[in-house]
Amino acid sequence: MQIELLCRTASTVAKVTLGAGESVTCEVGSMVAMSPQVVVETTSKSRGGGMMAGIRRAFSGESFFLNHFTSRVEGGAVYIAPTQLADVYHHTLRGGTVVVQGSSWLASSTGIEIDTTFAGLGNALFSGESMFWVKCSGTGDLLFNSFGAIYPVDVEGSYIVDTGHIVAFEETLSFEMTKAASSFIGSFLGGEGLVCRFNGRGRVWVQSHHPDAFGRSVGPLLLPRD
Amino acid sequence: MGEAEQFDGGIFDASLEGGRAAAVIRFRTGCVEARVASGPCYELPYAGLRIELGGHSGRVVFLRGAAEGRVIFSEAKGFLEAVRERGGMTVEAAHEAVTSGINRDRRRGRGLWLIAAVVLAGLVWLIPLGLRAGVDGAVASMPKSVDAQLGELAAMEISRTGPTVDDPRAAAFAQEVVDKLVAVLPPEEREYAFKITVVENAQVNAFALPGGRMALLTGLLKRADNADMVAAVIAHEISHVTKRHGLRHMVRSLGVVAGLQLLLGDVSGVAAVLAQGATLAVITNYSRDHESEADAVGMQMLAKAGFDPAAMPAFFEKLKSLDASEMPKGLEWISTHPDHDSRIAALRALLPTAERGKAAVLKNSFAEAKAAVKGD
Repeated sequence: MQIELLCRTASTVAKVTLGAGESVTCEVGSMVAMSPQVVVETTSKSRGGGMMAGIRRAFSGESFFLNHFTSRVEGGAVYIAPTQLADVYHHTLRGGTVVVQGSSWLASSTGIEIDTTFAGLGNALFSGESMFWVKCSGTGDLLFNSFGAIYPVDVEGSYIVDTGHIVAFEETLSFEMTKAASSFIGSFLGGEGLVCRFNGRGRVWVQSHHPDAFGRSVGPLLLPRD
Repeated sequence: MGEAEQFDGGIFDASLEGGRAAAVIRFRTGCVEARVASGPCYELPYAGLRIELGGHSGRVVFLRGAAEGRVIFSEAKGFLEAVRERGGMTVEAAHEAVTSGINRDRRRGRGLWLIAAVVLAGLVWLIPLGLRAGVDGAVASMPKSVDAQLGELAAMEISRTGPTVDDPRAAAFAQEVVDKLVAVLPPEEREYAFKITVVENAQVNAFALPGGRMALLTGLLKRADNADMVAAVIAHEISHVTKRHGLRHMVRSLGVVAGLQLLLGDVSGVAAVLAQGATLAVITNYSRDHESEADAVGMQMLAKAGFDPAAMPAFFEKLKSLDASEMPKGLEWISTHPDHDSRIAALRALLPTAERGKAAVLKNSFAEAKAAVKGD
C-alpha cells in the first residue's frame, strides 16, 4: 500500500494505491474517487471486531459501518478525504496503540484493529472531545484527519493542549484536565479555561483549529433562514 | 499478546529513530529483553528495575532501568505477573509497590461505584416522588373549571357505554343518592357539578369524569343488594372527582410537559390530546394509590351521609363471590380495581373510624329503581 497526501493542508486528499488483492478500511462516506478495478464492501466488522465493535464505534462519533476497498489489480487507487476542510496525517503503526479522537479516524490498513475506548467521565465532560475514542492497534498504515492543520509533538514529561485540539495520542501517554493558569479565575478570564495536560512519554497529534470555536465564530455571521 | 513468555509492547530508547519503537518483549535470566522489528535487542536488568503503571488506560506497565532513558512497556495481559514471576526476589519490592497501588485504586474504585450506586438508587427513589409532587402541585394550582373542561371533552364516553335509561325511577334514585352524599362534602368540594346518568350496560361498574359527571351502569344496579351498596360505589366515584384523580392521572400519563403546560394554565395542549383520541382509560384508569384514597374518603362520606359504611366492603365481597362463568362481564370492576382481597381487608380496618351520621332516608325506592332497569 502506498499513501500520498495531495492538496495539503486545508483540503487534503489521500491517494491510497493498493496492490492486487490488497484492502484498505475507510470511514463511511470518505471515498472521493476510485479506480474501476476497486471493489467496495460495507460491513460493521474491522479486524478482530464484530457487531459490538461497530456499536462501540458508533458511540465514538464514527460510523457503525466501515467500507473495505479492495483492488482486483496491482495499482488500483482510492482517493479519500475527510468531511470537513481538514488536513490528513499518515502514521505508520508498528505495534502499539494510537488513540484517535472520535470522528478523526479516516482509514487504516487491514492489519490495524479499530476499537473504542472510554475517555473517562471527567475527560469526556470537560475536554471538548467525545466520551469514547477510537483505539487503533496493530501494524500498518493509519490515516487520521484534523480540523485545520495537524502537527505531531513528542512528549517527554508533560505537555499541554487546549481542549478540542487533540487529534490523537499514543497510549503510553495519559492525560488529565487542568486549568490553564494558576488560578481558575485567571484561566477563564484568559479565554483558555480548562486544558488537557499529557503526562508520560509518547506522541500527541494536535490540530490547529477547534471545530466548535470555528462554528461559534461563523454562526453569528450567517443570515437566518426564511 | 502474551504467548508463553512473549508479549507485544514497545521501548523508549535514545538510540532509536524517534526515540521509540514497537517491540516484542521476553523475560530472560537476569533481564527483560525488547526486540524491535529492525532486529536489535535492548535489555533491562531486573536489578534496580522500577515498575510503573500509566498511559491512557492506566494499565500500561512501564519498566524503567536504573539508568535514565530506557523504558520497556506493554499493556499485554499477564505482563505484570510475568515480571514478578521471572524477576523473582529482585523485583519483589518494586512489584509490591505497584500491586499495592492497584489494590488501593481498586478499593477506591469500588468505593466510588458504591457511592454512585447509592446516589443512583436515591435518584430512582426521589424522581418519582418529585414528579408526583410536581403533578400534585400543578393540579392543585389549577382552577376547578379545568376539571369541568376535561369532563366535557370526555363526556361522549358516557353515551358510548350504552343508551341512557330515562325511566325516572332509576334516574331519580341515582341522583338522590348523589345529592345525599354531596351534601356532606366540604363547601369547596361541592362546587363541582355532580350529575349522574344511569346507562344501560350489563357490566357491574360505575365511573366518574373530572368535573363531576358520573355514569352508573345498570349491571351494577341489578347486582347491588341495597341502596347502601349503590351509595358506596357512588361515594367512591365522587371521591375520585373531589380528589381530582382524573386530572392527576392524566397529567402523569401525558408527562411532565403537559403538567407544566397545565401549571401555566394552558389546557389547549392537553385538550388537543384528549380530542385526538384519548379514551376514557386516560382519565379513569387510576393508580392503586388513587383507588385506596377514593375508598377511604368515600367510606367517610358514605357514613357521614347516613348510609351503612359496611356496604362498601360488602359490595366488593359480593363482586368477589360472583361466578365469572355466570357473568363474564360482571368482573369488570375487579379487573380495573386490582388486589381485591387486600382492598376488602383495608376497608374493614377503616370501618371503626367511619363516623356515621343520621340514617339516610331516600324518597326514591331502590327496589323500584332496580325494577326499572332491564337485564337479568
